[in-house]
Amino acid sequence: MKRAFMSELAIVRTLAPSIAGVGLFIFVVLALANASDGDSGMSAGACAVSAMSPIMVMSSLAGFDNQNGWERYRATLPISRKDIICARYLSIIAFSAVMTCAAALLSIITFPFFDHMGMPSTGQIVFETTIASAASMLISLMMVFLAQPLFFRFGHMEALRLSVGLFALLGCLAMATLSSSNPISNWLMSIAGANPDPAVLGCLCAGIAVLALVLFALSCAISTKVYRARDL
Amino acid sequence: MQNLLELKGISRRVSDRFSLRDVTLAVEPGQIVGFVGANGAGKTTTIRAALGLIKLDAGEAHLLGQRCDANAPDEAQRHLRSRVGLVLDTCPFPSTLKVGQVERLVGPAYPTWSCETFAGFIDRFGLDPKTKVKDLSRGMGMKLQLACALSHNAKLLVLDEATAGLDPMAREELLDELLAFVADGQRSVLLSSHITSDLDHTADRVICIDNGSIVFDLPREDITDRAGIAHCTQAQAAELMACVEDARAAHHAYSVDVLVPDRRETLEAFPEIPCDRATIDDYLRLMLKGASK
Repeated sequence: MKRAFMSELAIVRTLAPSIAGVGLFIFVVLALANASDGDSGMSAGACAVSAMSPIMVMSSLAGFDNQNGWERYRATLPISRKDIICARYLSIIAFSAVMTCAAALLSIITFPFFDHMGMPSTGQIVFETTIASAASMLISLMMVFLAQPLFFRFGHMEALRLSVGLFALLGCLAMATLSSSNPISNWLMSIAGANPDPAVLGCLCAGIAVLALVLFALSCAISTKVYRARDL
Repeated sequence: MQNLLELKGISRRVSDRFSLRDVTLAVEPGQIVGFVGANGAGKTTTIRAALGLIKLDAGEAHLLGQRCDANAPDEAQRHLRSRVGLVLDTCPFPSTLKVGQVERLVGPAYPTWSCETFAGFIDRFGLDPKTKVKDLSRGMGMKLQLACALSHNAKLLVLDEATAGLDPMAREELLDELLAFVADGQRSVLLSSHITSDLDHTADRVICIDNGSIVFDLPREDITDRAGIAHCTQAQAAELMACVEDARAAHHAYSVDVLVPDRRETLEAFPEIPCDRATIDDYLRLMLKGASK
């Protein structure tokens, strides 16, 4: 497992500068665009970077798999297919966590520079930015966990098409769930609306983390099963 | 000594039009085995089966005496694959990686990886560690793969169409490396190619596959030293075909080429018919396309 992870990291390292560059650009644009919204607007950049990192790294790694026959060559290395799958999930999680930490930290550090409302950088803002970034990453990771078995089963191009359809469907479901007429949305707004209790936010984030963990375990098991059965 | 690679009656239906059928072959220590056949004959599929990349419908694949097909336990596969080096027709590493970074990609997978050996090969092959994989020529890409395959103390090298598209100098360099690799008599090479001239002077055995089945499996000397091509008229060809067992004929506009298994015997029996040595190319062509009795 460690060997597979080290091998995977060699590719992730080459991806990091380009994904970080795109992330930084999006961070700056969103931070400037939403600066007038106060602390919630300021965390938009960090949330966007945290949300896009898992999907970008998943798609990029899957792209490399199908490039030049790397996937077939890798299957001849002394690494089991189960280890290949676990290493892939682990590297996506590790990369996403690093990007999220960096984005949240950047958001907290640069808050005074972008803030046009003259709000002081309090512990509450730091906490909210951190929680929002973590939740964004976890929700994005859940989408990755849903799509990842498709990539292992169908390869990059086919899975990309299927996962876009899957994400669109999930987007519609999320919008329907969060519409103002929906009781779930009303309940969420009542507990985590304009001035949320930090304890409630923490519990919500922990709930998302548990859900992500369950999805991770399921997704990893399914990916291992489909990848073992696949001819390479 | 046990065979380094052994396939016993493996079969696998790949599509409606192509199947591997009862493929049996062995690679003994110290041998370079040429694996020849037309494009789409089943060479790569056989190699995939041998390396456990595809599941088998029937038969068994053994590496270093142990079962290594897709159904073998993970631990056994891991151990056996660490003793195999692979060179493919295209450089398989992600294109944005630099030559120096490829070691970080492949090296950690092998418990017996030697950084010094890899650095030595990179230096010897004239590869620049800062060059990206996508900027490597075909020959350089092959050398990079070969450096990886030779840096973890492999017992068996498998080359799948590795010489395709290489210039004669690069092919000669590769063949010299292969000869050096098997020189100690403990290690072997399975060299799949449809450029049979590569095998004329290097292969110990030649195995031919066509349409998913093994057509012949012979010591190279039986082809290049023993067999012959008789250049006949129509009448001579008819007589030769009637007398010589296993002869194969290819008809041209004004002559007939007849493949005979023993050139000397044919020359003694038919001194008026010129009979040249066969190359693996001739042998392959006549075995696959020639008419039998």
